[in-house]
Amino acid sequence: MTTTPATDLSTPVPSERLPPSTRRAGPRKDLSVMIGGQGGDGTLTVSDLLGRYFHEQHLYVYTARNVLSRIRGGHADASTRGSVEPVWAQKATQDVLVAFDDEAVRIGQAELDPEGFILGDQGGVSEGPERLYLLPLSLTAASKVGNGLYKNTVAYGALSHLLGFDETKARGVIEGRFGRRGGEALQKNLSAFDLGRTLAREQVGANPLFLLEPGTNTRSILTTGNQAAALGFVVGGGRFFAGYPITPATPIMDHLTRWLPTFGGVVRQAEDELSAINMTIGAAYAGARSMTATSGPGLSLMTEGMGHAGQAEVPVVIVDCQRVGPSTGEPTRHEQSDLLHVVFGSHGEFPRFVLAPGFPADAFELTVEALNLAEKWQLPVFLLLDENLSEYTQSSEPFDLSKVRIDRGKLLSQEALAALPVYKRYLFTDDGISPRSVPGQRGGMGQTTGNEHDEWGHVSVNPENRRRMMAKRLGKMERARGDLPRARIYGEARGQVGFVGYGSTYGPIREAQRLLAGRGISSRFFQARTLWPVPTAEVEEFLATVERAFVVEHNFTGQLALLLRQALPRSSFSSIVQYDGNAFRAPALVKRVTEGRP
Amino acid sequence: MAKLTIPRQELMYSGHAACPGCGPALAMRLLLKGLGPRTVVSVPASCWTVIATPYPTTALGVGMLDNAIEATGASISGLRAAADALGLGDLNVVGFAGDGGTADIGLQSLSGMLERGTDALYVMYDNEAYMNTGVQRSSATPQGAWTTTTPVAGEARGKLEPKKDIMAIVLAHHPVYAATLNPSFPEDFVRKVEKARERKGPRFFHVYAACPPGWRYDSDQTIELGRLATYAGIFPLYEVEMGRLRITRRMGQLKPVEEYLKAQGRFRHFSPEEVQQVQEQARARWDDLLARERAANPPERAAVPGEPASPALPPPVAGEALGRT
Repeated sequence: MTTTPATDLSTPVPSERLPPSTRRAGPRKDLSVMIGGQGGDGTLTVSDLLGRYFHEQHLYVYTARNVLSRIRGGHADASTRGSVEPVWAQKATQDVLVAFDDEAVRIGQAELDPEGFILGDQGGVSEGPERLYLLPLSLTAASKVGNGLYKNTVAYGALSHLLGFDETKARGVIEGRFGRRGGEALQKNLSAFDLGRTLAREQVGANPLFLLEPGTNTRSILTTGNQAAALGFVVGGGRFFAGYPITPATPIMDHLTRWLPTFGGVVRQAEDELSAINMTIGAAYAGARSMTATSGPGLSLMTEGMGHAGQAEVPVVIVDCQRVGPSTGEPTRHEQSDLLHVVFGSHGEFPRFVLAPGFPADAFELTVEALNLAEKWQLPVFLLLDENLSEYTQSSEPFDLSKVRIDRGKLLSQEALAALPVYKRYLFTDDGISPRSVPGQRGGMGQTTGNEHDEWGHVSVNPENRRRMMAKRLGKMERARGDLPRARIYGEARGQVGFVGYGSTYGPIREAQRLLAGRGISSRFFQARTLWPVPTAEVEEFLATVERAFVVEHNFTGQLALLLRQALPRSSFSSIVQYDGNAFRAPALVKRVTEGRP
Repeated sequence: MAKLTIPRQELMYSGHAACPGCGPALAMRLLLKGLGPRTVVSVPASCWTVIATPYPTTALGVGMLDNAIEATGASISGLRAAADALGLGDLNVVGFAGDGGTADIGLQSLSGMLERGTDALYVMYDNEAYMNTGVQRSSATPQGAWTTTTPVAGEARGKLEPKKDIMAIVLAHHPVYAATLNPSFPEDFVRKVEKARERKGPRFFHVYAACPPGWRYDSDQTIELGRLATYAGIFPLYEVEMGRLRITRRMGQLKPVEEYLKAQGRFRHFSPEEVQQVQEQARARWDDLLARERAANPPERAAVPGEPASPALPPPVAGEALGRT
């Protein structure tokens, strides 16, 4: 085995370094199951069924997946974690590995807890370490259910016995998942489930290998960041969405295709991202609250439109679900490397806000907020997600509808417009925001243009006008500061360790804080929710409360750290980065901050 | 022993990452058999970029340039110009893009390449939706078909708009050769590839490329489904050479479209009226082709059923006639 370099955070910490509590016998309070095989083996289905069962058992759930960008083939694995305590990230080690082939054993073994066990399919796994239970999963599926593909549900059945699941509830989960597909699929899955239970009982033993303690979390919902953003859009009054298929943003379009028409909204699948952003600008100009969603390559195509929206002062929301870039990069894997693009992308200078939620309920809230800010300040607002937040199903607080408010800013009603002596679309005002009409309103005609323009919207190259217009637009950045979502701070009043991060690093950082607390180290976490303009004062205040600060992010160059250094040249902090496509794991993060190797 | 009509040489290998029954995989295999090893393919982000290169292998026996999804036409334009400048005029330069990468986001680039008279073969493998991202509609999705962005639920009845007629768009650019191909008819397929290989100037293939997971049918039915598509007039086989249209698979009578539609989950919701509508469209499409063929060919030269590739066609036209990039 090769030595792991100290800077590599992707390798899990062996369990002997974990707190003793995770190694004790008796019912598990925090259990993670990894399912590995080839794409098409149905690993995600098992992960999903486990997640639903854990949820039914009132546990906190976090699922993760490692799939290649392809419809079928290649190694794929997924893990599902269920815990009595809140969890926000992948567990550092796996307690159970379900393997459909040798590659899955080889890859999964590296993460397997020494006390864990492997459930292998005799049809694909030839050998393995101790505590490998080989069962004829695919053979049983082929011979008794009639199709080898049902091996995944046979595996779920076997697991349900080996982990001591409540049989009725475990079966109910299958009904919940396959019920709406109707008769045959449901019957075959139920029969595969029963066969799996029998196999495990007869060939491994009557008693479960592990038991799982039921939880008390009856409040949570199971969701993803993409789903939350799509719901936030609907609830926040969004009525026009345009998109173009791209991983991992496509689910937002898929969800809205189903939901938005019910509320009188429109979803348009564009022919490319140039079209998507410009449709969005068109719809916003027409008066609808409008949004588009994409990922890196699509964002690159939207870049001209970003500047147009800024210059023409058209309110649009652009969701960027970051993935590994540049170019095609790694479409299904995790990175946070678009920050500088959304902050600086497009030629020329224009105002914009960049918001970044950390978890699904936050994504819901900030999507509503992004719609409000875009209309109030009449500019493009970016909602920066990332692969893990976008796609990983997890327990979430229910979305708080009571906080939803809709602020359309200076969008004029017909009465307000009639009361104006004259309507100028780009009127100079104290706050830099001009009244806005929509096409068709009486007395509201005017030009909306990306050319430099005067108050009327007429094209102008007058130097004095240019100076005033630039000040009007760019000044929004400072004037809006009080309006922008504030960071959330977690931890003690003062910290020996301070973390600054955004997006899904929320999970590993909060879990790292728990591990640090177990070692008597106090910590504080600044979950940045507005990234641009940089919340300078907030960060400065935070840094004053911690002894050593670490800016944690998923990219090579330390993009957030770069922005903070520029905004706070005299502050001291270290940058922790990871850019291998995997998310941080809490124990490795703890190691990085305690062993002083940022 | 009869002479082989399909070249034996394999330039697309096993171990690729396509699904079982993948139409685009069959298309690439037959295409490369016809083109031979002096070929380079430019492939945009699509199913085929992941089919071709599952680590640590490659499924292709020819060079591949992966390009941005909107850029296939531009990519092969640059490739051709430089290859010519470097004295590699005999290289087959091929763009191999899906329907989304061609008829949606790549249309501008395709048009540019055709209009400039670029000496290259552009292949659109048409699986009628964005499959690599999980089945979203494209402009090539047939009317009424289910995709995740054209759902079938309540009043929603799949895609509202008819399929974009990419051949009409391409033909408006007057390429030297354009044809429709279907892997279920391998001899016709390879014959067209070989013909295209011998032409200079812009050439275009519209390839029927069935997708079992996206169209919701069993993967062992791909060949049969392809046959039905052509026999029912859903995807007729023809070629257009210097503006002259010739049907290459003639049917005395079209098969009913119902069998084709019923075989696929994406059409399962069709009412008898919707089936009838597709039937009428197939009929009209076929009649239109027959009329265009008659108009293009003087009666004495009209193709005869069962006749192989016409020996009476004019000789290949030098690319210079249209200007080469």
